[in-house]
Amino acid sequence: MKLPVYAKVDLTSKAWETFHISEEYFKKYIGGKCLAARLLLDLTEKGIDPLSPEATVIINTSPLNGTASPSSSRFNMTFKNVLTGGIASSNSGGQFGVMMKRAGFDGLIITGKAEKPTMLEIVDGTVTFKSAEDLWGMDTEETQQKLPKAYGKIVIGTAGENLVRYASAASGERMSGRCGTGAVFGSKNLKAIIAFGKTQPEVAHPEKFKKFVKKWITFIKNHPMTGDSLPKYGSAGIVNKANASYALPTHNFKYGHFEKADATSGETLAETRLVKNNGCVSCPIRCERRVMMEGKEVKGPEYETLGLLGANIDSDDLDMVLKINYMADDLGMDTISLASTIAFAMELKERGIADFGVEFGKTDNLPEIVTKIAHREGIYSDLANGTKWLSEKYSGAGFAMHVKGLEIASYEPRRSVGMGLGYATSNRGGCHLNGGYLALLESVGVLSIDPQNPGAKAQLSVFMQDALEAVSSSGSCLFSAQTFVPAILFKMGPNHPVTRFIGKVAVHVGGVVNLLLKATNLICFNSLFLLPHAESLHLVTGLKMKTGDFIDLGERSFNLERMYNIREGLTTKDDTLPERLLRTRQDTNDTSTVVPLDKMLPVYYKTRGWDEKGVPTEKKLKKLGII
Amino acid sequence: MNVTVKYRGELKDFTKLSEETLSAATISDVLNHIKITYGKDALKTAKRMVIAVNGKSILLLKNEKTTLSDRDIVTFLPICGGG
Ligand code: SF4
Repeated sequence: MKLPVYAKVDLTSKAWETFHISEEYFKKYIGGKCLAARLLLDLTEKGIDPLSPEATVIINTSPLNGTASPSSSRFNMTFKNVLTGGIASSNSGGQFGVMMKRAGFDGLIITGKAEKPTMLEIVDGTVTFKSAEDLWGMDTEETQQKLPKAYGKIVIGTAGENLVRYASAASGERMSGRCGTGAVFGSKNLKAIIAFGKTQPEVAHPEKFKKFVKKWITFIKNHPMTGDSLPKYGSAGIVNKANASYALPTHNFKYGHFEKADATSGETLAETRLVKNNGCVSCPIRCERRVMMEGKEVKGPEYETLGLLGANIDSDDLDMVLKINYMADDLGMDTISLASTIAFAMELKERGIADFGVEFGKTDNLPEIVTKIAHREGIYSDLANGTKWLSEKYSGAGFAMHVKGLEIASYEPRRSVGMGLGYATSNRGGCHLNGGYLALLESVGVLSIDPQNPGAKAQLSVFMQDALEAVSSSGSCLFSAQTFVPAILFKMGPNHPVTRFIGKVAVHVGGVVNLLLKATNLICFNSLFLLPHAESLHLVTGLKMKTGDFIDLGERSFNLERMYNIREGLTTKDDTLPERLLRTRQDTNDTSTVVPLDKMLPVYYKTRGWDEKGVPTEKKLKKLGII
Repeated sequence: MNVTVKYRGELKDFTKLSEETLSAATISDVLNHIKITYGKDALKTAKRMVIAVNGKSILLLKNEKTTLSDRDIVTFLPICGGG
């Protein structure tokens, strides 16, 4: 068994050394965000500024990266979250992770601050420090064009250089979007990292793996979600369904339904702007949209961007969504935080609190404003700090739509209360994926587990958070996990009496899910129908990895990240949602259209084996092998 | 009631129309129209889609018993995912 080898890089002294991951750590934490959370806890001091030279960014891969396992190109970045002060993990489907591995490193641990703009080059097991002064000032597209074509790349644009707190990093056209990755790079004068190599990853059981991958790909292609709707519509296809369920954030989350939402929907995108679909390396799903934008073929927007730059700012201007999506990627900014910050500024204007020249329904000046934000020009520097910071300066905390400082994704939790709990407890802040993505089972997918009923939502959230955490740690795309929703439900549809019945009774399965979570050792099998990633990991690493072990891996990861947050001073008070979602009914005539977080949170803590303050107990941490 | 019915996704492959106006008092009537006009397979497809009346899912209304008013818009939408 080959153990992971990382390079530990100090930008201040321009020195690097190899860093070996122990067998114990590899077996317990595997790779990706789980192993990175362990390393961040081990290697960093409490209380450092996320944009200081002492801050550390870990860029790492997982055993599946670079193999033929489906949708397995996702590499991870873990660092101190610029927006929340807690942990950040951000993953991307760009080429960089696979190339870094081929170049001889499973991960990088980067600290310090370069004196001048710098680029790291990783080739043949060696790290070289290069000047990036000629690249500084360029955006992500131009920067990458200047770099060798065959190399895997991560670069930042103007926003990262100017420390926009939600700046992203680009690898090809794929973004490591959330939590301020780009700002961390910028604070270190790190403009780019490039990697090239030819070493193929080792596979413990190559023949069995080959057969398994073939079976899994067939399964993915035959499933209605991954074989049909994602390739056809991408995540953009969610807009109309979310709108029909009143779960589409509208007017800065004041409402959940926008009359003109169809104009920015996945169906309209497919009918009017789509050129073709595309995909990350090794992905049979190919959910990426290639669209025409001002005569140029570019990567199309995801659901979150369409929702937050459409309904949430009262806009039906699809061309503008495409343009801002492209600009944000090029300047290097997270579209979720950017769009949500703009929506908050629009509400500040509507209430007469502050005027940044943005107004609900008005989009013509957005390109200019987005550019000014990336350059931190004048008052727009305030918008570069994100929603929480703005609400602290100008007031408006009750309608500042963030959790822990990270802007909430495009799911209205008053019509998906489990998603509300997920947002409140997600380790990186208002993230749907890290939050367990119950919206898929409540309001935007084929199943509707009673969206306004808190029953079983705590237990289901824990299960989903752990499962998604494990999928991420394996280096796989979370979309590849969506096959766990049985294909038969898609054949019956959302209105079928059986689908509706399942949605009704599922709110009573909390006890069963809890038992399952406590006895994961009983899930001592692997199945294509549940989380096939476990079998893939077993065949690649040779380690014992049944579905139960896989869910334990996710639980270990979630608890490690929680421990980091607690170390950095986050408490149960931070496990909350904006006032608007907790106290203001979405439908004034329906008392159930608020998020009953107080009902769900204590059950959630108990299910997790945490104390009433949300701190993992010693017993839990020992069971997980964390202490 | 004269309602407008909009067909999206794979249902359009059967209807060959993006929309049409018809007389229907409930969602059941609309489904019945689809069955009679476009056949059983079209009905099967229609039933497994999201059905919305004026943009609101019939799951939030009265499912197939949802009553329709003059000038209502009934939309059939594909089920999607991602996130
Ligand atoms: S499903 Fe989409 S985002 Fe995920 S790996 Fe495939 S192409 Fe990339």
